[in-house]
Amino acid sequence: MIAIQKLRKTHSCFPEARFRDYNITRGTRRMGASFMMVAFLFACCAIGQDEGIVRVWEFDPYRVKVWVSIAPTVGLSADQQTKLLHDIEHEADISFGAAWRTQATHTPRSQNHSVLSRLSQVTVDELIAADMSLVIAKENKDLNSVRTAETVIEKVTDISVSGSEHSELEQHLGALQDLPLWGSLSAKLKKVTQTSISLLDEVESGKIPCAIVRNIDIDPEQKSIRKIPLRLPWQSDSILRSFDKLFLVSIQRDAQFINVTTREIDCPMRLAGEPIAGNSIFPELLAEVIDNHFVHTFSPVVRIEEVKSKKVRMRLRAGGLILPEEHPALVVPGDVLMPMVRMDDRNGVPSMLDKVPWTYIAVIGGDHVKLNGLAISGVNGGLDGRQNKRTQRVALRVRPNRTETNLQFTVRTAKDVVLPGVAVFERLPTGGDMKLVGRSDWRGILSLKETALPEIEFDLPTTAGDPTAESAIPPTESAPTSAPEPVPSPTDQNAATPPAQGKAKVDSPATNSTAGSGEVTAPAAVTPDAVASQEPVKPKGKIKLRVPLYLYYVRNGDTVLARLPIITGLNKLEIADLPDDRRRLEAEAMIRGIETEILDAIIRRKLLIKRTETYLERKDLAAAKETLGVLRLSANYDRISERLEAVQRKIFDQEKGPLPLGAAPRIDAMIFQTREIMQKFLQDTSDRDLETKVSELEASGAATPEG
Amino acid sequence: MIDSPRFLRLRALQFVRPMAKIACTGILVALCNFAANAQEKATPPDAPVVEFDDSVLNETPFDLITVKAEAAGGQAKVFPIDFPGRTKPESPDPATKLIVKLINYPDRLYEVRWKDIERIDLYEELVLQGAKRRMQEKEYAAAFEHLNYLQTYHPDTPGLKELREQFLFTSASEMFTQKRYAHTLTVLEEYRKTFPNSRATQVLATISKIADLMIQQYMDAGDLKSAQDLIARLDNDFSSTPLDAIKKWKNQFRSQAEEMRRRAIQLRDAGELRKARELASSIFAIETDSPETQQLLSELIEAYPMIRVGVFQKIKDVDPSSLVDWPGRRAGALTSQPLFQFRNTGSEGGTYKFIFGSFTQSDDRKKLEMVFRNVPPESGINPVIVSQWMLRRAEPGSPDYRASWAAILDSIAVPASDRLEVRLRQPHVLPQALAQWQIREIFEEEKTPKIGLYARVEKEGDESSFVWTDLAERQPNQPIEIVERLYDDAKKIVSDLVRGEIEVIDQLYPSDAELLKNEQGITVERYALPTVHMLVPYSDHTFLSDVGFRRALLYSVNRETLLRDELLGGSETPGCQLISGPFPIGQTDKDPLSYAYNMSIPPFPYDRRLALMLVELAKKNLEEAAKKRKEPPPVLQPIRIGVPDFEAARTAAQAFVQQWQLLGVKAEVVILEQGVATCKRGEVDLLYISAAIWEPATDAERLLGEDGVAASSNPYIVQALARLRTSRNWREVRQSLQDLHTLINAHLPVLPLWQIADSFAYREGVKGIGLRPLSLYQDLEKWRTFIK
Repeated sequence: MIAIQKLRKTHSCFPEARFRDYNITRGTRRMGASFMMVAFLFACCAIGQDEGIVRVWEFDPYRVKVWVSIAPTVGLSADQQTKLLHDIEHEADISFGAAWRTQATHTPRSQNHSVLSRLSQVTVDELIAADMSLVIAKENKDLNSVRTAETVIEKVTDISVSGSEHSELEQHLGALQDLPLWGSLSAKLKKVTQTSISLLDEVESGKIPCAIVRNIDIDPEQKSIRKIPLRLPWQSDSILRSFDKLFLVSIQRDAQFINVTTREIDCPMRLAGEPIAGNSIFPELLAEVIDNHFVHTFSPVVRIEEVKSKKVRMRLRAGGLILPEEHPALVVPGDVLMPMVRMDDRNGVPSMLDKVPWTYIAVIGGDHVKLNGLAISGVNGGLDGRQNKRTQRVALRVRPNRTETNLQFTVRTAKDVVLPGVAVFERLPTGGDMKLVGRSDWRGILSLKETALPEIEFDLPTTAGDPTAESAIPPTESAPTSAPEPVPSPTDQNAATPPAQGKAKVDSPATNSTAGSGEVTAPAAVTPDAVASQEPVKPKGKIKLRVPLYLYYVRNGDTVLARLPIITGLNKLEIADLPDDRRRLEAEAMIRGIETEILDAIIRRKLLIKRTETYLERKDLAAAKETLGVLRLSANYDRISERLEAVQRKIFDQEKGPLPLGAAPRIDAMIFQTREIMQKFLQDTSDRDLETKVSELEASGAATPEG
Repeated sequence: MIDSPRFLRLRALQFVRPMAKIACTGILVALCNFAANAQEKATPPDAPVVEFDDSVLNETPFDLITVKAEAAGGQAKVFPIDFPGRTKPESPDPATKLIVKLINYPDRLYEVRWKDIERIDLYEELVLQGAKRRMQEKEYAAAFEHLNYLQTYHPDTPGLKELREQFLFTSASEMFTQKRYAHTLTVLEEYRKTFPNSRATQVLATISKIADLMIQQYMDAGDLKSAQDLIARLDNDFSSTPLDAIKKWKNQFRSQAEEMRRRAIQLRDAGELRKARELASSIFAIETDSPETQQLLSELIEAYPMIRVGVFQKIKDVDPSSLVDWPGRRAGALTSQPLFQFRNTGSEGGTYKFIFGSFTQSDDRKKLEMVFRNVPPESGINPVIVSQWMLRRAEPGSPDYRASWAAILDSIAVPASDRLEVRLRQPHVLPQALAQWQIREIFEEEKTPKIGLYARVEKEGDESSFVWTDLAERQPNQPIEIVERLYDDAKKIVSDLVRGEIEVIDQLYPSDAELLKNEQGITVERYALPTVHMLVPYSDHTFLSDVGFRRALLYSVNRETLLRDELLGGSETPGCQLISGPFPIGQTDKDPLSYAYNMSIPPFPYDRRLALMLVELAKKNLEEAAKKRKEPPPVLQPIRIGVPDFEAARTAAQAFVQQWQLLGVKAEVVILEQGVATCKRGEVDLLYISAAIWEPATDAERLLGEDGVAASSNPYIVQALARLRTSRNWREVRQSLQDLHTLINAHLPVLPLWQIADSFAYREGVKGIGLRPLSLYQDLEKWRTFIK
């Protein structure tokens, strides 16, 4: 209890109540974790003899690596540091139980400075760039067919390595002497005084057969050098291959506070999350602070198993190891997931790692292992595609940690060109009214502010063919009614209430049925058309999402350019590459301008024709002649047609370069439409008819009005 | 009476006879018959009695002949009979006949025997009778009209003179009772002039009394000028018999002037030169011919040169480069300086001055290099400070942020301690035009050093005062203080200028400019560049969002008449004309200022019928849109027109209200706070602005861009502005601006009204103002004041 009170004082970034709740539930979770661990071992034994090869997704715990960088100014002794690493593992075990297998170590020396000083900017590529690799000359006939580090080590007598790299290798390989490969490598290392750059030159010239250098020193333009990954077990590349999550922790002192910053990296997807910061006065509480960071930044992963239309069936990683209660690794209805695709080459090296563009999955039900989702996408077939051994489609839970997102529009074919003045409309992810949010500024940026959490409506699973029907758990989850904190607490009772215990907020057939009759009545939202079509009414479910995910429609003039699902606050900047619509908009501006002239001309001519006719009826020749004169001078079909042609010439002016793809037909359609209006309303013989009538009246001798 | 049966019968007789030769005979017979019939019916029930209009002056002059009862009676209106000297014969031969022409039958002549005529009333006698009757009824204006007619056309009418005397005296008494002193005085002066010997003493005493009362009234109202004018006139008119009142007031003024002079001297000796100067000016106003006052004032002007400027718009915020804030722009030149100052217009943009030295633009127009030379050491300004300021201006979220600047800025370098280099994202023809920022904004408010020649002194009431800052050495007669005095009455400001209460008027009501040109000792000068006036949609008023409705508002106002008759006082003033876009059209065909104006687009004509149809169409469109959204149809709410508080704007807005009312569109004028040109969006629906669009290449962005007063989110306009921003040379700039003009005319993000060539006026005593400045204080350092 004392520890908790201390935490309350020091961890000012978390609400007190949440922290308390969180700690109270830890004991319960520890018991559950022990139970689940037994279940997991049992399951593994039942599935296969070789635990190392066969892994059952939902019973496979996350392998988590924690790299801790401690600044000397913090003043922790070596023992204290070792204890901290141990405590981190211990705390993670309490928080995540069987779902995590945690390993905390010091950050490798080559990465330590980056993690300490610029954690928020560190990228996965940067981490890998600091790794060491073997280099050989392409021309080296002895090593011509060599593909792996093992073969190189086997074939060469010594491997040159410069001073700093040698000391790192010595430090780590000492503990790995028992493993044949690393023992062999250690024996063949030859410390040299040259720099890595010189070593590369020597390899290239054939002076030495191979060397170990850092990736960053290898010039990709140096075509005669071949790089062979060394995959030293402490290096980033190995970590990213062997672990599911890598947490980078930076600990620094700022006056009396010890500041802690933590950042998650999803290893298979090589995706770095947003850093989270906190502080503590007492060094002994650092492990708890870091554990809290784990809880708040950890993104559970689901495997996408089946996609049918918008319905998605998924399976939660380590879901079978989580007791059905609130748990940081749990994914619950209302959560939103970001789908990603990873394609590996034959060597297991990712050849494609990408977020599925403008696509999210809203979890609408499930049993915590099997989850049902609804794809909310701005692109057609975003989640489609084959899934095989080398192609993984997963999704990570996302939660925003800021209150606004800048949405920028650029031209797809010219990334440095932005689109200002583009109108953005907001809509619920599953449809409804659209609301104008604003327009992009001169930078092509519109700032989206935090909004209320959306409530979405979806079809409840009814048929056998429905992939979401299998689990058939009604999506009864209700997210908190208020907007989430930047980082929602896992102990939020409302947020983490499992569906079975949650309060139903579903317009299910039961809720809409006539009492006792068992008949399903149409929900209020069903349109008369639907009723008229005599089709069975699909029962609807509703769920409030836990993040502000909305669809944003992008309109430029009269044309909708894109439909973008965006979670406000998830990313600082979202860039939407749109088709180059500038020339079309320019044409639209001119044509709409002409259309206003046409409208005025139509009205003015109608009025003048009517007046002339009235004067003719009254036999007021002078007035009729005068009005007819005005009519003749007013804008008519020919004059406006000339203007339209001039506009057309301007639009298609060759000096402006070729029109972007797809713009020409749209412009043609606009011009055609305008011409049609002109022909319909302006191309008439009224002038001539009236002239004839006036001549006739004149000939009849009438000159004054009757009466 | 014209169609009385008897006359019809006459006419019938006339028709059966041969026309020419026997015409006279016919008339005779007719009149005879007329008389014979009269005889037959001694008391004819239908004896013709001529009735005429209440005022005979309204009828064609006629004489009235009354026929004796025994000759059938009745009256006939005839054309004035040509009696010698218009005197009726005293004893005409009864047997002879009088030949007359009836008013109703002007083509024919008639005869009547003198013996049958009972009476002839001449027209002038009838008018005189009318005058008498009106005097009895105390309708003096109508009576005057009658008498004036007689005096003009029939001055010898018997009884006219007596009646005039009676009229003048009676009406004067009556007006005096009604306290209409000015009228009474006029009438009595006329009486004295016309009847110098009649009641001479009484009249003179009354005139004196009235003069006294009038002067007192003027003095009570603070209208010294009118009082003095009256004294001077009466002193002159009654020089032979001086009026007691005039003597009294002259003495009073003299002693008052003496007292003021004494106090002014006291103040001067006490070192309170400003008060002394103001007091001396006042003496000069009441005693113009006093050499002592002239001497004193001359001394004081030298000791405390002060210039008083009459203004219609008070200063609130000072900004020398403001687009729409006239007073802010005017006073900006007094207290502040922009980093780059617009000096003049040219065919390829304006010429600018870098306030701290010189600047050059690279040939590729992608770099602007500034050399700092004239930096006052105490100001603390250097290239680094300015570069940081420029960077802040390009930083979104910064309070100093300017989108138009951020859009062109790439980077800034300080290559030497006296140099600053601004690199641009793309070539720009006039980057300096986007940096017309006030120097004082570099600093936090409390740390702002003195920058302008003058500093504002807080003053309550209708005056703003600016005093010399001692930044430079003041030359003799260079004003030590500029006082701006607020007026809301165009007549009063002109009057004060004429009699020397103020020395300068900064903006003349257009129609007054023409009048003042004829005033001696006053110079009326035109500003170098015009202002363009427009209405800016300033709220989310449902109907104003419809472009058809906005067009209707323009079509429904007869802007040409409004401009010519209401604002320009009926005269054609060069440089003042309707516009179809928000850019100046210039004053002549070759005016370089008109480079942005697309001459092929005419202003919207006045067409109320079309406007009515467009309003109906807008209603229908909006109703349909609301129906689609399942909302109730929108109601056409009254349009609030926000108007800066100056007369021309108020007059124009009132005219809009009236003319839109005919469309069924209600509107109301909301006068903005004094000295304020804009307000919060949504407080008004349309904002009237008069904008100084002197550099369209960049002012288009300042007007319609993100932080502009008429910021437009219309994608067509936004894209057109982006095109303008990326124009690489003047050919592209001109084309982009003219395209923008076309789009603005079609989509109306602003409603262009007219261009006004503003003018100002000053007394001869003020020298150095210069010919056709951009703003009043442009050449302030050359201003000098003398006594004239």
